[in-house]
Amino acid sequence: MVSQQPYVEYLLVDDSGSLTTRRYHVVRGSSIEQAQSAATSLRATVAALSGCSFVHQAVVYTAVEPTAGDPLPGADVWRVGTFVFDCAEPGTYAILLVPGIRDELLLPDGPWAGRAINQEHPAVVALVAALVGTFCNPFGQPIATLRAAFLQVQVGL
Amino acid sequence: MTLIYPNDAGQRGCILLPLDIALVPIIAGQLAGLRRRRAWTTESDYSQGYTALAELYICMTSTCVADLTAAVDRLYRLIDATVLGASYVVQETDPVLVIYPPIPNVPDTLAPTPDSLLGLLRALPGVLDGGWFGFGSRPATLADIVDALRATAPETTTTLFEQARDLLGQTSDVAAIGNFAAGLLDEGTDVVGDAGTALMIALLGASQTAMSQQLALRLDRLIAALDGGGAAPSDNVLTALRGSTPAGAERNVIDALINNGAGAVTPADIDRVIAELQQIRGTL
Repeated sequence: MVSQQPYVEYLLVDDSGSLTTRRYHVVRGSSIEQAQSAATSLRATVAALSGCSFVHQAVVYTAVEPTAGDPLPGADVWRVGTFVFDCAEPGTYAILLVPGIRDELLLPDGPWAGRAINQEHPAVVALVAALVGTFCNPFGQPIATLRAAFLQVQVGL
Repeated sequence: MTLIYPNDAGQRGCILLPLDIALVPIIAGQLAGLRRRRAWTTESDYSQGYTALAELYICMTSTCVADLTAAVDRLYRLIDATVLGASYVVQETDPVLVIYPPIPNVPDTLAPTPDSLLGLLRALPGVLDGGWFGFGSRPATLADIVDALRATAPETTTTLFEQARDLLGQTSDVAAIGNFAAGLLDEGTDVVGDAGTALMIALLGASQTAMSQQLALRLDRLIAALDGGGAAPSDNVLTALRGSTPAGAERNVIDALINNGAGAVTPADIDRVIAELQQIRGTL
């Protein structure tokens, strides 16, 4: 993956309720803290120039694959691996989706064959290890343990 | 349009919805939109909706049903261990909990352990008719226990109560009472029982007391008939009848009083006695 130019993205709303987003690129090599600080400063400046109101601000660091490999035959973005985690605080959860889940990760037999994900598969074990302690749910709750893993089919969403 | 999370969620109870496993991916996919912020009106709605969706996803993979069945299994093992004395051990805990032995389809109710509830219950009344080597013994029934408390022995023809009744009827003497009591205490307690023994002893005591009292009353009556209940006489009936002459096989006190011992009594002697008694009749 090749790092791209990081940018700051603002979501603004006008008097009629219409929304728009605008990006402002940050110098390559800037740290996240530098980019966030720059985004905050720029927002104040833009606010003095625009009658719109700020709704949302994001600092985005992107990286791209210079030569995209071929997807596996039959890979389907709408066949989504769903992983539900317990978070650190009891009663909180995290839902993580992996599009195009590979068929070999699904259980081969039993009543859940082709529906549930094999939680003992090394790839799944590695996923859990990468998430726990590092990632969290949208509400800031750190991911703790895997509770459920199954196939989800999304159509027309 | 955005969704508002209901404010009475968690207060109405839950439904158990059967969902074919084959449909789980499709239904889960249709619910995926609820995961996004834009589906909800406020941050609070979003947070609660997100949590509810995660819990629904967990239940859709039958985890909640597994919890229910696991609880039922724990209840079965509790009953099995208590009533029959079965012993369960945790064989594995990771990755899944495995308990040995597995729960059978048909429980074995024929072999409870001695310290189980059923084993203790069966041992409580004891066994009868065990014979020399204990073969063919049978558990004692309530009827057996009642018979023992009643002090009734099948092999005897007369019950202990019937014997006690005879004693109270004063048909037995002291020797009989003593023999009965001695036999009672010598016999095996299987027949009599502690309550029966105590009752018999009490009856015997009461019977002896009653007999003693009646005997004393009779003696008092006899004495009062002889001396009128006054001061004890200085002589006795025999002296009054025979005088100082000792009794003999040829001596008849009546003859001696009527004809002064002059041979057999004649009708003339009887007439004379009657005349003398008539003379003194008015003066008595």
